[in-house]
Amino acid sequence: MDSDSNLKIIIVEPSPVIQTGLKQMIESNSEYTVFVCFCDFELFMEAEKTGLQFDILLINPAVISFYRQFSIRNMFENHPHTFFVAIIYGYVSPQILENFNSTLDIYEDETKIVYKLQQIMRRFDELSIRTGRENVDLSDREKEILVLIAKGMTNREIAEQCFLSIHTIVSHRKNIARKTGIRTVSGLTVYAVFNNLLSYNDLSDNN
Amino acid sequence: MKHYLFSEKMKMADLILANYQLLYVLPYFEIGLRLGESSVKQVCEKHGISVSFFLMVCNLYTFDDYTPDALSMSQIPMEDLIKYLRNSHTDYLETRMPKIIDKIMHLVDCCHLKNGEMLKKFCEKYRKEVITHFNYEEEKVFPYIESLLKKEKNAKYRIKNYESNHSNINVSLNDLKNIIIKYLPAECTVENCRDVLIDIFLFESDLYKHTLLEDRILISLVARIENMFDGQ
Repeated sequence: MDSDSNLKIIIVEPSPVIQTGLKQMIESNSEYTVFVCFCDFELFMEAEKTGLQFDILLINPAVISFYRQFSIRNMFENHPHTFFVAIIYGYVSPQILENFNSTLDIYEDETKIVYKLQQIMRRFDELSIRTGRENVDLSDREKEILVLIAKGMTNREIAEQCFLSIHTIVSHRKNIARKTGIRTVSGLTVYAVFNNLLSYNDLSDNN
Repeated sequence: MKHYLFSEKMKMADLILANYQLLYVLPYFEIGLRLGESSVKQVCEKHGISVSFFLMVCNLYTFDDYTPDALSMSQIPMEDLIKYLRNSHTDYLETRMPKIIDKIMHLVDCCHLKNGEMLKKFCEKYRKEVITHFNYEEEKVFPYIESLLKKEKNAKYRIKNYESNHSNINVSLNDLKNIIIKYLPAECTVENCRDVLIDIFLFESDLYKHTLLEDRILISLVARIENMFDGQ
């Protein structure tokens, strides 16, 4: 799987119920998947020391020992682009929250949480576009797949032709949609022709 | 946040000054300009429209975090709501969508021949999509609701079926925006594209609010009538 272009989301939360709930909400309401969950902060820090990379960290501030809660930014100096989100279900001092980019109150109803999550993803996207962190051009593989989509092929057909799994094709499609801003097949067809990936004549019979 | 909302004592003209997009809403209620100093209440009464419904639509169009409360929702006259939706459909189909497509056809002339053809095809497809979507509502959904209001039972259809049929025509509009902003050749200057882009942005936000009105208000009102029937 092309993991470079995928957003890495990590959850650090002691309650397995909340962990699973958040993971499920993120995955069923956005184009992203949760990379890994940790119950324990020390385990997470060990993984971090061995070079674990992540883009969005959803973390319950209560798991961090008290005297370190105020300096979470300093602890993660190696991750300047990471977006920190505090998982809240009790009183947390505003001074601690200042260290986070955003918060998520688990007592909110589902629509509000989903909305908040989408807002967080969008803000992260904007941030990374602004800082130019993400490679915004389509990769050669993505271009190849885009052409096949424009020709009207299904995910299964594309997977067979490229010797890739359907899952990989789906994740390529998500990245193509995010980079171009275009989601419909006919829109992608226009893109392909305008960018000389496909000649108009290739299309005349099936479009 | 309630005190920020529009109220019936405000001057109608002030509503438009606060949010010019309401200029699209007025004709759907068959209200014209020349508003003078009349209050919202006065104008609504003159036109025989429910004040609370009118305010709800204006608030929905203006304040992003506004959600109507259950009480005022239960007081919406269904006939007014359907008339409003029908008027907006006519405007979308006969004026706003064709205007956008016409303007894109001018851009087609600046494109390389074959690219222009592609853009034309995309617009044609979009036109069909929009027509199918609204025709479905006009021919299936509204007559169903009107038959409910006449207390006729309809065993086959339920408003739930409509939700799943509510395809999101905004996705294509968003694609169109991206194509115009990002991928048209340099011959299509900003001056040429600006007009149509602004039309698309306005249409998009209008459709978004329109969808809210249908999904949140129309559907829940109809579901309530259905429940009353089923309970009988």
